Amino acid sequence: MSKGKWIALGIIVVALLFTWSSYNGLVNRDEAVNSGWSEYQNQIKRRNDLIPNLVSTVKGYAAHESGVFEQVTEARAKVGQAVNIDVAKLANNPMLQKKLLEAQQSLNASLGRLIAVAENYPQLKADQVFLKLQDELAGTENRIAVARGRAIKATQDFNRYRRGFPTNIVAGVTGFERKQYYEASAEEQRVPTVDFGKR
Amino acid sequence: MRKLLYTAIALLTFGLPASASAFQAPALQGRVNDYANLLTPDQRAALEGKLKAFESKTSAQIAVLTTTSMQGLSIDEYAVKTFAEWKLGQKGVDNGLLIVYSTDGDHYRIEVGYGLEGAIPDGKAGEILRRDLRGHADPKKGTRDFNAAFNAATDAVSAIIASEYAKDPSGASLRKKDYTPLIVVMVIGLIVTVFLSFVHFAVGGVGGGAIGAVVGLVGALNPAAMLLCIFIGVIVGLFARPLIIAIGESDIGTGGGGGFLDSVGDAFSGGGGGSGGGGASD
Repeated sequence: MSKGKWIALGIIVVALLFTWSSYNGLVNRDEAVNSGWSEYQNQIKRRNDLIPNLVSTVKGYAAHESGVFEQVTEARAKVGQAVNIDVAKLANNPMLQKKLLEAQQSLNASLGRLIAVAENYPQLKADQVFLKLQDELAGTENRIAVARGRAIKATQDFNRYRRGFPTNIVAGVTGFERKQYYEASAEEQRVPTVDFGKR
Repeated sequence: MRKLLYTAIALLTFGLPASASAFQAPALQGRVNDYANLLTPDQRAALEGKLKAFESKTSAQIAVLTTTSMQGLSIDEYAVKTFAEWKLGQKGVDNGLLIVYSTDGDHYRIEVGYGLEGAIPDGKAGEILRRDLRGHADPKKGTRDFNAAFNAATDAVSAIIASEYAKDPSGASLRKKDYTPLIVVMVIGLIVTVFLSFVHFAVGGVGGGAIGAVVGLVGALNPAAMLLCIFIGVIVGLFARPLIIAIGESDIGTGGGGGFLDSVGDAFSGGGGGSGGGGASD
Protein backbone atom coordinates (compact mmCIF):
# COMPACT_ATOMS: atom_id res chain seq x y z
CA MET A 1 0.00 0.00 0.00
CA SER A 2 1.12 3.51 -0.62
CA LYS A 3 1.94 6.00 2.12
CA GLY A 4 -1.35 7.81 1.56
CA LYS A 5 -3.39 4.67 2.01
CA TRP A 6 -1.62 3.83 5.27
CA ILE A 7 -2.36 7.28 6.62
CA ALA A 8 -5.99 7.06 5.53
CA LEU A 9 -6.32 3.68 7.23
CA GLY A 10 -4.77 5.10 10.40
CA ILE A 11 -7.21 8.00 10.43
CA ILE A 12 -10.17 5.65 10.01
CA VAL A 13 -9.03 3.33 12.80
CA VAL A 14 -8.44 6.20 15.22
CA ALA A 15 -11.73 7.87 14.30
CA LEU A 16 -13.63 4.62 14.85
CA LEU A 17 -11.96 4.16 18.21
CA PHE A 18 -13.04 7.57 19.39
CA THR A 19 -16.52 7.30 18.00
CA TRP A 20 -16.92 4.03 19.85
CA SER A 21 -15.66 5.36 23.18
CA SER A 22 -17.61 8.62 22.93
CA TYR A 23 -20.79 6.80 22.02
CA ASN A 24 -20.43 4.41 24.95
CA GLY A 25 -19.79 7.32 27.27
CA LEU A 26 -22.94 9.05 26.05
CA VAL A 27 -25.06 5.92 26.43
CA ASN A 28 -23.79 5.32 29.97
CA ARG A 29 -24.43 8.89 31.05
CA ASP A 30 -27.83 8.96 29.41
CA GLU A 31 -28.68 5.83 31.36
CA ALA A 32 -27.45 7.44 34.59
CA VAL A 33 -29.76 10.41 33.99
CA ASN A 34 -32.73 8.12 33.43
CA SER A 35 -32.05 6.03 36.51
CA GLY A 36 -31.64 9.24 38.53
CA TRP A 37 -35.09 10.48 37.53
CA SER A 38 -36.54 7.02 37.96
CA GLU A 39 -35.32 6.92 41.57
CA TYR A 40 -36.95 10.33 42.04
CA GLN A 41 -40.25 8.95 40.72
CA ASN A 42 -40.01 5.87 42.94
CA GLN A 43 -39.53 7.94 46.09
CA ILE A 44 -42.46 10.19 45.17
CA LYS A 45 -44.66 7.13 44.64
CA ARG A 46 -43.46 5.71 47.92
CA ARG A 47 -44.53 8.84 49.73
CA ASN A 48 -47.90 8.74 48.01
CA ASP A 49 -48.29 5.21 49.36
CA LEU A 50 -47.66 6.40 52.91
CA ILE A 51 -50.22 9.18 52.88
CA PRO A 52 -53.45 7.15 53.18
CA ASN A 53 -52.12 5.58 56.39
CA LEU A 54 -51.26 8.95 57.81
CA VAL A 55 -54.67 10.35 56.91
CA SER A 56 -56.52 7.45 58.47
CA THR A 57 -54.43 7.67 61.65
CA VAL A 58 -55.22 11.36 62.06
CA LYS A 59 -58.87 10.67 61.18
CA GLY A 60 -59.00 8.25 64.09
CA TYR A 61 -58.51 11.18 66.47
CA ALA A 62 -59.93 14.08 64.51
CA ALA A 63 -62.66 12.77 62.24
CA HIS A 64 -64.47 16.09 62.01
CA GLU A 65 -61.55 17.94 60.36
CA SER A 66 -62.74 16.67 57.00
CA GLY A 67 -61.63 19.74 54.99
CA VAL A 68 -57.93 19.08 55.43
CA PHE A 69 -58.33 15.37 54.61
CA GLU A 70 -59.96 16.27 51.30
CA GLN A 71 -57.17 18.72 50.47
CA VAL A 72 -54.50 16.12 51.15
CA THR A 73 -56.30 13.45 49.14
CA GLU A 74 -56.78 15.78 46.19
CA ALA A 75 -53.17 17.01 46.24
CA ARG A 76 -51.96 13.42 46.49
CA ALA A 77 -53.98 12.43 43.43
CA LYS A 78 -52.42 15.29 41.44
CA VAL A 79 -48.92 14.16 42.39
CA GLY A 80 -49.91 10.64 41.39
CA GLN A 81 -50.93 11.90 37.95
CA ALA A 82 -47.85 14.06 37.45
CA VAL A 83 -45.44 11.31 38.48
CA ASN A 84 -47.01 8.60 36.37
CA ILE A 85 -45.07 9.28 33.16
CA ASP A 86 -42.35 7.62 31.16
CA VAL A 87 -38.99 8.33 32.77
CA ALA A 88 -37.38 9.26 29.44
CA LYS A 89 -40.01 11.98 29.02
CA LEU A 90 -39.45 13.28 32.52
CA ALA A 91 -35.68 13.29 32.06
CA ASN A 92 -35.88 15.41 28.92
CA ASN A 93 -38.75 17.74 29.62
CA PRO A 94 -38.29 20.57 32.11
CA MET A 95 -41.99 21.46 31.90
CA LEU A 96 -42.98 18.00 33.18
CA GLN A 97 -40.39 18.33 35.93
CA LYS A 98 -41.82 21.71 36.89
CA LYS A 99 -45.36 20.32 36.94
CA LEU A 100 -44.30 17.46 39.18
CA LEU A 101 -42.42 19.77 41.52
CA GLU A 102 -45.43 22.10 41.79
CA ALA A 103 -47.80 19.23 42.47
CA GLN A 104 -45.49 18.14 45.29
CA GLN A 105 -45.32 21.61 46.72
CA SER A 106 -49.07 21.83 46.96
CA LEU A 107 -49.12 18.37 48.54
CA ASN A 108 -46.51 19.53 51.05
CA ALA A 109 -48.60 22.57 51.87
CA SER A 110 -51.69 20.48 52.60
CA LEU A 111 -49.65 17.92 54.56
CA GLY A 112 -48.36 20.83 56.60
CA ARG A 113 -51.96 21.73 57.44
CA LEU A 114 -52.68 18.11 58.35
CA ILE A 115 -49.75 18.04 60.75
CA ALA A 116 -50.84 21.38 62.21
CA VAL A 117 -54.27 19.86 62.89
CA ALA A 118 -52.63 16.87 64.53
CA GLU A 119 -50.71 19.19 66.84
CA ASN A 120 -54.01 20.01 68.54
CA TYR A 121 -54.51 16.44 69.70
CA PRO A 122 -52.01 15.50 72.41
CA GLN A 123 -53.06 11.85 72.33
CA LEU A 124 -52.46 11.67 68.59
CA LYS A 125 -49.07 13.34 68.96
CA ALA A 126 -48.05 10.61 71.39
CA ASP A 127 -49.43 7.80 69.20
CA GLN A 128 -46.52 5.51 68.25
CA VAL A 129 -48.03 4.72 64.86
CA PHE A 130 -48.40 8.42 64.11
CA LEU A 131 -44.80 9.09 65.19
CA LYS A 132 -43.48 6.35 62.92
CA LEU A 133 -45.56 7.53 60.00
CA GLN A 134 -44.13 10.99 60.48
CA ASP A 135 -40.62 9.53 60.50
CA GLU A 136 -41.32 7.60 57.32
CA LEU A 137 -42.79 10.62 55.64
CA ALA A 138 -39.93 12.89 56.67
CA GLY A 139 -37.39 10.27 55.57
CA THR A 140 -39.09 9.83 52.22
CA GLU A 141 -39.29 13.56 51.70
CA ASN A 142 -35.56 13.73 52.30
CA ARG A 143 -35.01 10.85 49.86
CA ILE A 144 -37.01 12.72 47.23
CA ALA A 145 -34.81 15.79 47.67
CA VAL A 146 -31.64 13.69 47.49
CA ALA A 147 -32.89 11.82 44.42
CA ARG A 148 -33.80 15.06 42.64
CA GLY A 149 -30.39 16.54 43.43
CA ARG A 150 -28.65 13.44 42.07
CA ALA A 151 -30.79 13.36 38.93
CA ILE A 152 -29.87 16.96 38.18
CA LYS A 153 -26.22 16.23 38.87
CA ALA A 154 -26.34 13.30 36.43
CA THR A 155 -27.96 15.62 33.86
CA GLN A 156 -25.23 18.22 34.29
CA ASP A 157 -22.62 15.50 33.98
CA PHE A 158 -24.23 14.30 30.74
CA ASN A 159 -24.30 17.83 29.32
CA ARG A 160 -20.71 18.50 30.28
CA TYR A 161 -19.56 15.25 28.69
CA ARG A 162 -21.63 15.89 25.59
CA ARG A 163 -20.04 19.30 25.11
CA GLY A 164 -16.47 17.96 25.08
CA PHE A 165 -14.52 17.22 21.91
CA PRO A 166 -14.88 14.91 19.98
CA THR A 167 -17.99 13.73 21.83
CA ASN A 168 -19.96 16.75 20.63
CA ILE A 169 -19.60 15.54 17.03
CA VAL A 170 -20.58 11.96 17.90
CA ALA A 171 -23.54 13.24 19.93
CA GLY A 172 -24.68 15.39 17.01
CA VAL A 173 -24.55 12.49 14.57
CA THR A 174 -26.19 9.95 16.92
CA GLY A 175 -28.91 12.32 18.07
CA PHE A 176 -27.99 12.81 21.73
CA GLU A 177 -29.44 16.22 22.51
CA ARG A 178 -28.39 18.44 25.36
CA LYS A 179 -30.74 17.72 28.26
CA GLN A 180 -32.79 20.54 29.74
CA TYR A 181 -33.89 20.45 33.35
CA TYR A 182 -36.06 22.60 35.51
CA GLU A 183 -34.00 24.38 38.10
CA ALA A 184 -36.25 25.50 40.93
CA SER A 185 -35.39 28.84 42.44
CA ALA A 186 -34.14 28.85 46.02
CA GLU A 187 -37.53 30.29 46.98
CA GLU A 188 -39.44 27.45 45.32
CA GLN A 189 -37.29 24.80 46.90
CA ARG A 190 -37.60 26.24 50.34
CA VAL A 191 -41.22 27.28 50.73
CA PRO A 192 -43.56 24.55 51.86
CA THR A 193 -41.57 21.74 53.32
CA VAL A 194 -43.57 19.93 55.91
CA ASP A 195 -42.63 20.74 59.47
CA PHE A 196 -43.09 17.44 61.25
CA GLY A 197 -43.21 19.01 64.65
CA LYS A 198 -39.44 19.03 64.85
CA ARG A 199 -37.65 21.49 67.00
CA MET B 1 0.43 23.81 12.61
CA ARG B 2 1.22 25.30 15.99
CA LYS B 3 -2.04 27.23 15.91
CA LEU B 4 -3.89 24.00 15.22
CA LEU B 5 -2.20 22.33 18.17
CA TYR B 6 -3.14 25.16 20.51
CA THR B 7 -6.73 25.05 19.32
CA ALA B 8 -6.86 21.32 19.97
CA ILE B 9 -5.42 21.73 23.46
CA ALA B 10 -7.84 24.54 24.21
CA LEU B 11 -10.74 22.37 23.04
CA LEU B 12 -9.67 19.56 25.32
CA THR B 13 -9.16 21.68 28.41
CA PHE B 14 -12.50 23.37 27.81
CA GLY B 15 -14.24 20.08 28.39
CA LEU B 16 -12.57 19.45 31.74
CA PRO B 17 -15.04 18.82 34.53
CA ALA B 18 -15.38 21.66 36.99
CA SER B 19 -15.98 19.93 40.28
CA ALA B 20 -15.36 22.59 42.91
CA SER B 21 -18.25 22.23 45.33
CA ALA B 22 -18.56 24.42 48.39
CA PHE B 23 -19.12 21.50 50.77
CA GLN B 24 -16.10 20.06 52.55
CA ALA B 25 -16.79 16.77 54.29
CA PRO B 26 -14.97 16.42 57.61
CA ALA B 27 -11.93 14.15 57.36
CA LEU B 28 -12.65 10.54 58.21
CA GLN B 29 -10.60 9.97 61.36
CA GLY B 30 -11.88 6.53 62.15
CA ARG B 31 -15.24 5.11 63.14
CA VAL B 32 -15.59 7.75 65.85
CA ASN B 33 -15.11 11.31 64.63
CA ASP B 34 -15.63 13.51 67.65
CA TYR B 35 -15.01 16.97 66.24
CA ALA B 36 -17.19 18.61 68.88
CA ASN B 37 -15.18 17.03 71.71
CA LEU B 38 -18.13 15.47 73.48
CA LEU B 39 -16.36 12.25 74.48
CA THR B 40 -13.20 11.55 76.47
CA PRO B 41 -10.32 9.83 74.67
CA ASP B 42 -11.07 6.61 76.60
CA GLN B 43 -14.72 6.69 75.60
CA ARG B 44 -13.75 7.28 71.97
CA ALA B 45 -11.34 4.35 71.99
CA ALA B 46 -13.90 2.04 73.60
CA LEU B 47 -16.61 2.97 71.09
CA GLU B 48 -14.16 2.69 68.20
CA GLY B 49 -13.15 -0.80 69.37
CA LYS B 50 -16.75 -1.91 69.68
CA LEU B 51 -17.68 -0.69 66.19
CA LYS B 52 -14.56 -2.26 64.72
CA ALA B 53 -15.36 -5.64 66.27
CA PHE B 54 -18.87 -5.33 64.91
CA GLU B 55 -17.58 -4.65 61.40
CA SER B 56 -15.28 -7.65 61.45
CA LYS B 57 -18.27 -9.79 62.44
CA THR B 58 -20.85 -8.49 59.96
CA SER B 59 -18.92 -6.22 57.51
CA ALA B 60 -21.40 -3.45 58.33
CA GLN B 61 -19.73 -0.07 58.89
CA ILE B 62 -21.16 2.13 61.62
CA ALA B 63 -19.60 5.55 62.20
CA VAL B 64 -20.24 8.39 64.62
CA LEU B 65 -19.66 12.06 63.85
CA THR B 66 -20.02 15.09 66.09
CA THR B 67 -19.55 18.53 64.66
CA THR B 68 -19.79 22.16 65.64
CA SER B 69 -20.76 23.42 62.20
CA MET B 70 -22.90 22.10 59.37
CA GLN B 71 -21.50 24.61 56.86
CA GLY B 72 -24.86 26.25 56.42
CA LEU B 73 -26.61 23.03 55.42
CA SER B 74 -29.53 21.31 57.10
CA ILE B 75 -28.65 18.26 59.20
CA ASP B 76 -30.22 16.05 56.51
CA GLU B 77 -28.09 17.48 53.71
CA TYR B 78 -24.98 17.55 55.87
CA ALA B 79 -25.34 13.89 56.81
CA VAL B 80 -26.13 12.63 53.30
CA LYS B 81 -23.21 14.55 51.78
CA THR B 82 -20.77 13.38 54.42
CA PHE B 83 -21.99 9.81 53.94
CA ALA B 84 -21.49 10.11 50.18
CA GLU B 85 -17.94 11.30 50.80
CA TRP B 86 -17.09 8.60 53.35
CA LYS B 87 -18.82 5.79 51.45
CA LEU B 88 -19.69 3.81 54.55
CA GLY B 89 -20.70 0.19 54.07
CA GLN B 90 -19.42 -2.36 51.58
CA LYS B 91 -19.78 -1.68 47.89
CA GLY B 92 -22.83 -3.36 46.45
CA VAL B 93 -24.13 -4.24 49.94
CA ASP B 94 -24.42 -0.63 51.14
CA ASN B 95 -24.46 -1.67 54.79
CA GLY B 96 -23.23 1.59 56.28
CA LEU B 97 -24.79 3.76 58.95
CA LEU B 98 -23.81 7.21 60.20
CA ILE B 99 -24.88 8.83 63.45
CA VAL B 100 -24.39 12.60 63.43
CA TYR B 101 -24.78 15.14 66.19
CA SER B 102 -24.30 18.82 65.53
CA THR B 103 -23.89 21.23 68.45
CA ASP B 104 -24.82 23.93 65.94
CA GLY B 105 -28.61 24.00 66.31
CA ASP B 106 -28.64 20.85 68.49
CA HIS B 107 -29.60 18.28 65.85
CA TYR B 108 -29.23 14.54 65.60
CA ARG B 109 -29.40 12.44 62.46
CA ILE B 110 -29.19 8.73 61.80
CA GLU B 111 -28.31 8.28 58.11
CA VAL B 112 -29.04 4.74 56.95
CA GLY B 113 -27.25 3.16 53.96
CA TYR B 114 -29.37 1.72 51.13
CA GLY B 115 -28.70 -1.85 52.19
CA LEU B 116 -29.93 -1.31 55.76
CA GLU B 117 -33.13 0.55 54.90
CA GLY B 118 -35.11 -2.69 55.08
CA ALA B 119 -33.75 -3.62 58.52
CA ILE B 120 -33.91 -0.07 59.88
CA PRO B 121 -36.81 1.78 58.29
CA ASP B 122 -37.18 5.49 59.04
CA GLY B 123 -39.69 4.79 61.81
CA LYS B 124 -37.18 2.54 63.57
CA ALA B 125 -34.42 5.10 63.11
CA GLY B 126 -36.69 7.77 64.59
CA GLU B 127 -37.47 5.56 67.55
CA ILE B 128 -33.77 4.95 68.23
CA LEU B 129 -33.11 8.65 67.86
CA ARG B 130 -35.78 9.63 70.39
CA ARG B 131 -35.15 6.82 72.87
CA ASP B 132 -31.38 6.28 72.77
CA LEU B 133 -29.89 9.54 71.55
CA ARG B 134 -32.27 12.20 72.88
CA GLY B 135 -33.05 9.98 75.84
CA HIS B 136 -29.45 10.21 77.09
CA ALA B 137 -28.21 13.51 75.76
CA ASP B 138 -30.64 16.36 75.27
CA PRO B 139 -28.78 19.57 76.14
CA LYS B 140 -32.00 21.61 76.15
CA LYS B 141 -33.29 19.39 78.93
CA GLY B 142 -29.96 19.47 80.73
CA THR B 143 -28.82 15.93 79.91
CA ARG B 144 -25.43 15.60 78.26
CA ASP B 145 -24.38 11.96 78.51
CA PHE B 146 -23.24 11.65 74.90
CA ASN B 147 -21.22 8.56 75.65
CA ALA B 148 -24.32 6.71 76.81
CA ALA B 149 -26.30 8.13 73.88
CA PHE B 150 -23.89 6.94 71.19
CA ASN B 151 -23.37 3.59 72.90
CA ALA B 152 -27.08 2.93 73.28
CA ALA B 153 -27.82 3.96 69.71
CA THR B 154 -24.98 1.94 68.17
CA ASP B 155 -25.97 -1.05 70.32
CA ALA B 156 -29.54 -0.78 69.11
CA VAL B 157 -28.62 -0.61 65.41
CA SER B 158 -25.97 -3.33 65.85
CA ALA B 159 -28.53 -5.67 67.36
CA ILE B 160 -30.90 -5.12 64.43
CA ILE B 161 -28.17 -5.55 61.82
CA ALA B 162 -26.74 -8.63 63.58
CA SER B 163 -30.14 -10.33 63.61
CA GLU B 164 -30.51 -9.59 59.88
CA TYR B 165 -27.16 -11.21 59.25
CA ALA B 166 -28.12 -14.20 61.37
CA LYS B 167 -31.18 -14.65 59.15
CA ASP B 168 -29.24 -14.18 55.92
CA PRO B 169 -25.54 -14.91 56.30
CA SER B 170 -25.05 -14.51 52.55
CA GLY B 171 -24.91 -10.77 53.19
CA ALA B 172 -21.81 -11.28 55.29
CA SER B 173 -20.15 -13.62 52.83
CA LEU B 174 -20.62 -11.10 50.02
CA ARG B 175 -17.73 -9.17 51.37
CA LYS B 176 -15.30 -12.08 51.31
CA LYS B 177 -16.12 -12.88 47.72
CA ASP B 178 -15.96 -9.36 46.38
CA TYR B 179 -13.69 -7.36 48.56
CA THR B 180 -10.14 -8.31 47.61
CA PRO B 181 -10.45 -8.45 43.82
CA LEU B 182 -12.30 -5.15 43.89
CA ILE B 183 -9.45 -3.48 45.75
CA VAL B 184 -6.95 -4.82 43.23
CA VAL B 185 -9.03 -3.59 40.28
CA MET B 186 -9.43 -0.21 41.93
CA VAL B 187 -5.72 0.20 42.57
CA ILE B 188 -4.75 -0.85 39.06
CA GLY B 189 -7.44 1.40 37.61
CA LEU B 190 -6.19 4.28 39.68
CA ILE B 191 -2.55 3.78 38.67
CA VAL B 192 -3.42 3.48 34.98
CA THR B 193 -5.69 6.53 35.14
CA VAL B 194 -3.17 8.65 36.99
CA PHE B 195 -0.39 7.55 34.66
CA LEU B 196 -2.38 8.22 31.50
CA SER B 197 -3.61 11.59 32.68
CA PHE B 198 -0.09 12.50 33.71
CA VAL B 199 1.18 11.56 30.27
CA HIS B 200 -1.60 13.55 28.69
CA PHE B 201 -1.35 16.66 30.77
CA ALA B 202 2.42 16.76 31.05
CA VAL B 203 3.41 16.17 27.49
CA GLY B 204 0.17 16.14 25.54
CA GLY B 205 0.26 15.72 21.80
CA VAL B 206 3.92 16.59 21.45
CA GLY B 207 4.95 13.81 23.77
CA GLY B 208 2.67 11.37 22.03
CA GLY B 209 4.20 12.38 18.72
CA ALA B 210 7.72 11.90 20.05
CA ILE B 211 6.88 8.47 21.39
CA GLY B 212 5.30 7.61 18.06
CA ALA B 213 8.43 8.76 16.22
CA VAL B 214 10.73 6.64 18.37
CA VAL B 215 8.52 3.60 17.97
CA GLY B 216 8.46 4.15 14.22
CA LEU B 217 12.24 4.48 14.00
CA VAL B 218 12.93 1.43 16.08
CA GLY B 219 10.20 -0.73 14.59
CA ALA B 220 11.07 -0.28 10.94
CA LEU B 221 13.39 2.08 9.15
CA ASN B 222 10.58 2.86 6.78
CA PRO B 223 9.54 6.49 6.26
CA ALA B 224 5.88 5.64 5.64
CA ALA B 225 5.53 3.57 8.80
CA MET B 226 7.33 6.20 10.79
CA LEU B 227 5.07 8.96 9.52
CA LEU B 228 2.04 6.91 10.42
CA CYS B 229 3.42 6.26 13.89
CA ILE B 230 4.05 9.96 14.44
CA PHE B 231 0.55 10.72 13.30
CA ILE B 232 -1.07 8.11 15.54
CA GLY B 233 1.15 9.20 18.42
CA VAL B 234 0.04 12.81 18.07
CA ILE B 235 -3.61 11.80 17.88
CA VAL B 236 -3.36 9.45 20.85
CA GLY B 237 -1.54 12.10 22.86
CA LEU B 238 -4.16 14.69 22.04
CA PHE B 239 -7.07 12.44 22.74
CA ALA B 240 -5.76 10.72 25.83
CA ARG B 241 -8.45 12.36 27.95
CA PRO B 242 -11.50 10.91 26.19
CA LEU B 243 -9.76 7.55 26.23
CA ILE B 244 -9.15 7.77 29.97
CA ILE B 245 -12.78 8.71 30.41
CA ALA B 246 -13.80 5.76 28.28
CA ILE B 247 -11.71 3.48 30.47
CA GLY B 248 -13.30 5.09 33.50
CA GLU B 249 -16.73 4.10 32.16
CA SER B 250 -16.22 0.58 33.40
CA ASP B 251 -16.52 1.73 37.01
CA ILE B 252 -12.81 1.45 37.65
CA GLY B 253 -11.48 4.06 39.97
CA THR B 254 -14.60 4.57 42.06
CA GLY B 255 -14.09 2.96 45.37
CA GLY B 256 -13.69 3.56 49.04
CA GLY B 257 -13.92 6.81 50.91
CA GLY B 258 -11.23 8.62 52.83
CA GLY B 259 -9.06 6.46 54.96
CA PHE B 260 -7.37 6.69 58.30
CA LEU B 261 -4.53 4.84 59.95
CA ASP B 262 -5.19 4.38 63.66
CA SER B 263 -2.62 3.93 66.42
CA VAL B 264 -2.11 0.22 65.81
CA GLY B 265 -1.66 0.82 62.10
CA ASP B 266 -5.11 -0.48 61.22
CA ALA B 267 -6.72 1.39 58.38
CA PHE B 268 -10.35 2.31 58.38
CA SER B 269 -11.94 3.55 55.21
CA GLY B 270 -15.37 3.43 53.69
CA GLY B 271 -16.05 0.25 51.73
CA GLY B 272 -17.80 2.05 48.86
CA GLY B 273 -21.37 1.97 50.16
CA GLY B 274 -24.06 4.56 49.47
CA SER B 275 -27.11 6.11 51.05
CA GLY B 276 -30.05 8.01 49.64
CA GLY B 277 -31.32 10.12 52.50
CA GLY B 278 -33.02 7.36 54.50
CA GLY B 279 -33.05 7.54 58.28
CA ALA B 280 -34.29 10.08 60.77
CA SER B 281 -33.31 13.44 62.18
CA ASP B 282 -34.61 16.07 64.53
